[in-house]
Amino acid sequence: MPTITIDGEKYQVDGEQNLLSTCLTLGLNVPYFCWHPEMGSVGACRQCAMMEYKDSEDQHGRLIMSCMTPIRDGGIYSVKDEVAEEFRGSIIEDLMTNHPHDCPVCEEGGECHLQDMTEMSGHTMRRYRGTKRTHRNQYLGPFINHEMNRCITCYRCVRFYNDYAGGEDLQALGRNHQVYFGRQEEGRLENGFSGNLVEVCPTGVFTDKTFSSHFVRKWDLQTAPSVCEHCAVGCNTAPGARESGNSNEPILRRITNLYHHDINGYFLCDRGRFGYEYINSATRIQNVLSVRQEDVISSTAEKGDRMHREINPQEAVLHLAEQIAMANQGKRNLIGIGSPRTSLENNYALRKLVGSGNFYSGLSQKDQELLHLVSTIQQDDRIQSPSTPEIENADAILILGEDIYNTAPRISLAVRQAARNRQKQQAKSLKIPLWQDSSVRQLEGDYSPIIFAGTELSNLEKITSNTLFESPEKVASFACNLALAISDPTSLSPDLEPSLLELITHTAGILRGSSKPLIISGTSSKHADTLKSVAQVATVLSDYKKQPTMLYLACDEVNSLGLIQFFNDGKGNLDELLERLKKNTDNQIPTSLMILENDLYRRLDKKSLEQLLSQADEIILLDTLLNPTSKRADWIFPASVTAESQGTFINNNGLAQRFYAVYEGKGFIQESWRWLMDAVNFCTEKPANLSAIAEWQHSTDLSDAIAREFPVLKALDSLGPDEDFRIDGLKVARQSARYSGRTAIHAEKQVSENPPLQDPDAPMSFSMEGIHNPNRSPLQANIWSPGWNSNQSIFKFQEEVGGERRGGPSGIRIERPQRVMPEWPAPSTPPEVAADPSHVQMLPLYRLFGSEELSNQAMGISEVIEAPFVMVNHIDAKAFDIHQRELIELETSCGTYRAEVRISPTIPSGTVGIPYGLPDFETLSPLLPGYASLRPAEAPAITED
Amino acid sequence: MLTNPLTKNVTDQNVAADLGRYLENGGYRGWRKAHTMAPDKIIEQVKDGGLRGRGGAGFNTGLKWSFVPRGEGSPEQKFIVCNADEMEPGTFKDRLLMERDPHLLLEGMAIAAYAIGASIGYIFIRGEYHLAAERLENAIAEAREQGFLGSNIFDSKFSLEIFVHRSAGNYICGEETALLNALEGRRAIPRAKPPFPQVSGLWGKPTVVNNVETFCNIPHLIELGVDWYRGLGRGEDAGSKVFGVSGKVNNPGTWELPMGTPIREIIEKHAGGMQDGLELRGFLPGGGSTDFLGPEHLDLPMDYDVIGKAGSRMGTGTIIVLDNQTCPVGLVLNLSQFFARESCGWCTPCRDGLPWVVKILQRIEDGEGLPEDLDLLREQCQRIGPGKTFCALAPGAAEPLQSALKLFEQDFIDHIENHCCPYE
Amino acid sequence: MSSLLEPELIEVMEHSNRDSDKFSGPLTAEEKEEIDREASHYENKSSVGLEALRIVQKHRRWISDDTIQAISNYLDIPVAELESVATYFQLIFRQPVGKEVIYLCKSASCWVMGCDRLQKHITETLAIEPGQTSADGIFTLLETPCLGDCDKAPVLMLGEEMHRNLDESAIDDLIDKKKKYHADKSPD
Ligand SMILES: Cc1cc2nc3c(=O)[nH]c(=O)nc-3n(C[C@H](O)[C@H](O)[C@H](O)COP(=O)(O)O)c2cc1C
Ligand code: SF4
Ligand code: FES
Repeated sequence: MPTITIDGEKYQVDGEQNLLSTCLTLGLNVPYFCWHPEMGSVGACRQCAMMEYKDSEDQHGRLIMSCMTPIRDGGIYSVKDEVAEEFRGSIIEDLMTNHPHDCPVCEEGGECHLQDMTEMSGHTMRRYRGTKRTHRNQYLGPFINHEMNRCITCYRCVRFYNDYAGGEDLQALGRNHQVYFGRQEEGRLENGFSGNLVEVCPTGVFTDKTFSSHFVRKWDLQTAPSVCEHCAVGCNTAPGARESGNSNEPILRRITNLYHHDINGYFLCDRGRFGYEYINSATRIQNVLSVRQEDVISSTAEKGDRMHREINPQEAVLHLAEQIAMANQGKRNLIGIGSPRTSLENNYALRKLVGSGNFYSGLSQKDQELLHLVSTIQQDDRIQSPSTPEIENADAILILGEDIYNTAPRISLAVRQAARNRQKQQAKSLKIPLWQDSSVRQLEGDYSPIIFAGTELSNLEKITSNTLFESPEKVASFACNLALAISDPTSLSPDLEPSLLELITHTAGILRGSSKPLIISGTSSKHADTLKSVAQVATVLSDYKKQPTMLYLACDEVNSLGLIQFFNDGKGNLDELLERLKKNTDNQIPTSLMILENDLYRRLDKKSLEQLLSQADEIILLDTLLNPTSKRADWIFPASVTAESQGTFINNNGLAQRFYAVYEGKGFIQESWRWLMDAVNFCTEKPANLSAIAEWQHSTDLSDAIAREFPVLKALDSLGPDEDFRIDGLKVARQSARYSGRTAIHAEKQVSENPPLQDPDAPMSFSMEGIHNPNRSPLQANIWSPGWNSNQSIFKFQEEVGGERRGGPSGIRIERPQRVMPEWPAPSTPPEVAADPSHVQMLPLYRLFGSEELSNQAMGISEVIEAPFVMVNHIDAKAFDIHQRELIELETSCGTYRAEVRISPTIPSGTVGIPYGLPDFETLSPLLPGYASLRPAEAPAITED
Repeated sequence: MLTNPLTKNVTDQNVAADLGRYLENGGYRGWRKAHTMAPDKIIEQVKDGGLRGRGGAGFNTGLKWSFVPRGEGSPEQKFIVCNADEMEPGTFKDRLLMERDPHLLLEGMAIAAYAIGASIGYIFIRGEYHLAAERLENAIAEAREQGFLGSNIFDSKFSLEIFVHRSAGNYICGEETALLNALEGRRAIPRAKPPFPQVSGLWGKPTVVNNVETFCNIPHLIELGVDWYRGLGRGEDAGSKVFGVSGKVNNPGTWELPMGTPIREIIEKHAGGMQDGLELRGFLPGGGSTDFLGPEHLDLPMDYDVIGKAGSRMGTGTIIVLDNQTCPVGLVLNLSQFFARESCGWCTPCRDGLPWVVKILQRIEDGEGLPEDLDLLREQCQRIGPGKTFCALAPGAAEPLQSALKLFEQDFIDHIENHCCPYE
Repeated sequence: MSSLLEPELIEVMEHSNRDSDKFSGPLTAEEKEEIDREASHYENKSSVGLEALRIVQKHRRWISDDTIQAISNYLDIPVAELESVATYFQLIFRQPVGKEVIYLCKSASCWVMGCDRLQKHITETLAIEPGQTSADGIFTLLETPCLGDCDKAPVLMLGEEMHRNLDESAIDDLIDKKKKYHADKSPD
């Protein structure tokens, strides 16, 4: 380790970093703009100037840009030297010649890196007397505001958007002091990571438009560490909430990134950042509802739909208690349906209440089998689930049947970085340090090999070396052959089509020859054979290389992998429940269905589901948003969302992560498990399961119970800290030390200050009182340090710049027993049949915006969701005589759907692509993949039957 | 003995020396000789000859070539690039060489390409030089026809294609790394150094960039040898150079003269001295980005280090003369406007500092300057000085300004005190 | 897009940038052929974008939004990327220019030799400031960095032709000649 001297102090440092990031790691304050911990140095802003001295004799030194300076062993540097200090001040003065001093109306104010650096530079007087150059702003879509006059031309935006995220519609335009950062014309920023511009831009050029609409300053946001609930990657977030001006009740106001070294690092996807607004949407359930008994004279509602009215929660809880009591006496069936989109704790509570024999996963048989497969595969010790940095380091990537940009977006961003590994290798051989960003990028080394086989590939197409667009059956068969080719190339069937054979051999060669190969797949093609053959490729590769293979498997929902741990025998799906209810054996007594945070219309085909629901005498729903299932419910309890509650999710890597309540939900909203617990408390007689429930006080009581009862989930025991944790006798404050107006907020109703809400679950207060320092508590999500008001301050809480968060990473991997996966028989190769419009295979196509249930209700996102479409292969389209944008009808076993045709050269022939989960098409999702017939739309529009 | 190797084919007529005339005058002899030599030997000879880059920085050309990685493991593809972006205010030498004797440049490039092992060369020419580009293209066609370029030149295994790349404007494209970006079709932002282009240049491959005039020195240096070449110079530096003078002299123009020719001789003898009634107040010795020198410097020889010691730079060797009836503040304002406009917009001091300088100078010129503006200008010169900015453009802009503030300080003060330009 | 930038050189003429006139629309066979020929000189497609802009501008005088889209389609380079270089390089015109572009050298030597006087004269004669196009659509006046003919200052370039050692009367002759030339040509 090299030793250097900075301002007279000696330090031992990591020689791989540049001088700037070394100083920051050492905790020294050196201002900067264009450098970014993840994107490296380009030397544009000149803000990070320091002095370097030849030797201890050298009195004058030389001004250097610390971000562009490699560490020299024995090097002598200074931050404090007057010349350097003055120069840094002069940079601010130069920048201020054009910056408008519009801080009061700027959304960046109070967390502006430019404000911070201005202060830090010590620059106070500006002497510029001229006019400022001005720009016109652009409309950039519902997510991002544009205010170009604030630009300080640090080039970070385009470096992130183009170089890092592969965006193609934001550029530096013009030259000299008129450089403009914008699109070629007005319109939405198309890249799915655009939201990061808000954090990447050091000033207020790109700000969060959704936040603007209910803006408060950063210090007025109440925060807690949370986990993004919009896919199963498990990115860490810092949601921020605050009372709304006139209703007193807090609303969620924004999501920002919360650094997690192994998952999201510095960046989130736009679904994760902007999806939060579903929480404040009109479809949010805030009150207890019950079905209206009075006759409805006329209604536009569909047959079977119920009308609801608000009722007193106590009435509903009492009713629930009665049902529970009846069930205890054997006079009622109480059946619980769980959900992969809510916490382990909520699922566990329902399971405890109804008993394991009456608890169902809320998944279809197919979906449950897929998740079971994922978990089984991950249990094999030849398989390793890679973290994001490991993905970024892979030197060859095979993606099978998963359009990760749309199903696990953050992972696709990691894959994009991995594509540059050959280039980085070349840089190393030329002795160019990797942080020297533009120098590395000018080496036009080939991309590292990325091979894709599947239905659709979004966003990554330009960096993949080979693509095979095929149906899941063919993808599985490709994978099977690939496994053969890896273990024994001579065993391949000679009947294979030459081009396919070549791709298989090529891929096998790449995987065998690479040192850190990575395979990515998942459940989204809903095809078990794909997963099985992927597993085979991975294990064969592991046998060949005598090392575990990195295999990333993406699941559908935030807690898919958690939920499945309750169903280790593979039983308990909705199809089984339907069979059970149909059998009528226990129909002597009435049945109550209790549905936990689940829209069953997205799970089971409509026919089966209606049948299932009609078997129940009563439907009780605990959920967050109104949805088709809620229309069928007799009783609806308002459940809290992730940001309003505490609990545990298990992500694609098997990492159990706890999220904490940011604020308390509006109205009667509370955690689903608390509703159940309330009801149990009203029961006079309590058998063992109920008395256990009655004793719960804290969310962590449930986590502990889960850990005791389920050995695989033992990790929940060590997740923490728990509610009794204290630092110097204090809780961690959710509000910043300068949270304003707390005595005034309620003054309209009451002049005395309300006592803060008590949090029974977390060692955190809903107030300013307590510990604020993120270094002392991993619970602190308000990333702030004196002088560093923006999110850039995160380095103060890392072991080193870009390293682990101090206090360790959040989350613990669950320990599943190591088990060799079974030998699955090879899937049969599908026969070639001519494409036939009366029998096309429908395949799911995922969309970053539109496929995920909750975020679809977010205002900004709902604006950009595409209209439903049916994607048809261009050759098939000719054969079937259908044309782009024409309306067609899709006849399925559950009704007819109508949408525009979209013609694609890549969608496999004989199949059509159906957007998964899109509004109006949700009920089609359970049928995917499946068969339908296609015909031009003639009759007037009817959707469904 | 040949004393004007650069311009021996240049006549009064505005025509290019065609291949026939070029060959008659001994053309391509250097190239013929070079291709029988070991590349190392060529590089050594160029280095020993003491040829210093004529693009402005004056770096030893052979030394520059020697940084290109060679031998096993080095990249196969390498490039040779000619910097013909001539846009420095007051510089008009490369245009002459390209328009009148295009083969000389091609021959120089061929030798350089062979020496470093490049098989592709680009002449990066500014978009406004239509005639030069056309004449170069014709010359390339002629040379290919006769086998001086193309594949298997002189029946050896060596092949070389040279393409003319017309640029689309901007002074910064002359900065050699910005030039590479422009050639790659990108925004011409300079690149960080290291890595130097010799290691990672065009498309990340080893690349040598030299000025037009530099290449034109090569053929004869190879053909006639180090001793002859060094003997051409009158002072410290080797070889000859195309010098030029513009401004209010009697006979503005260009002349090929020995390195080390005294400035007085160039201005008074060749350029015919000042126009009637005018006196010389100062001059920029080598284009717009060099420091003003005064009449006291007239007897200095045009040698890189001599001019350097006097506080300026030899630059491109084309002198701009300032007479006593032209406003020095106005001239500096004009130059600053040029540099501010031509800033690429990458680094702060240049992008935002230069427009500020322009505004201050404009104010002074308009009679609205304040006494403290002079300190502000001096401070700005510090901020855009060497080492502070990303490339040499802004330090170049500082040179005329900082020297004018010293040499013509009273003019600035007069503007401010009298609230007007005394020259109007 | 370019209208978002402060006009550095050229002011927007009356008609909209979106008009599909003869300066817009798909690339012609000739343009494509020239682009392909140029492309063969480079290893990498990225180089060709800028070249294509230059080539197509030679045929169309300026690059309209439609033209940039056409180039983007032909080369499969994102429009924003082309826009980024188009707005960077000063010889690529993203706004209409007249039939004759006057590039008046404004750099040091020409300034010493009186280019400001020439500029004033042109401005008065044609009623255009730098960046503007004369009402008859013939002349656009642009200020240009040093044209490398400093010993014959003041100079200007008209189209591709250099004109040297200028004074007011030389300018008048030049303007008259061009006006006459365009008057004689059938109107377009
Ligand atoms: C702003 C700027 C503009 C330049 N313009 C030119 C130019 O037009 N022609 C040129 O040959 N060198 C120019 N240079 C110098 C080049 O960067 C480079 O040093 C030169 O091409 C190297 O060639 P040489 O070693 O043969 O002189 C410029 C440098 C800077 C900083
Ligand atoms: S918009 Fe923001 S990120 Fe982009 S250059 Fe300007 S200040 Fe930097
Ligand atoms: S941070 Fe070092 S130059 Fe911008």
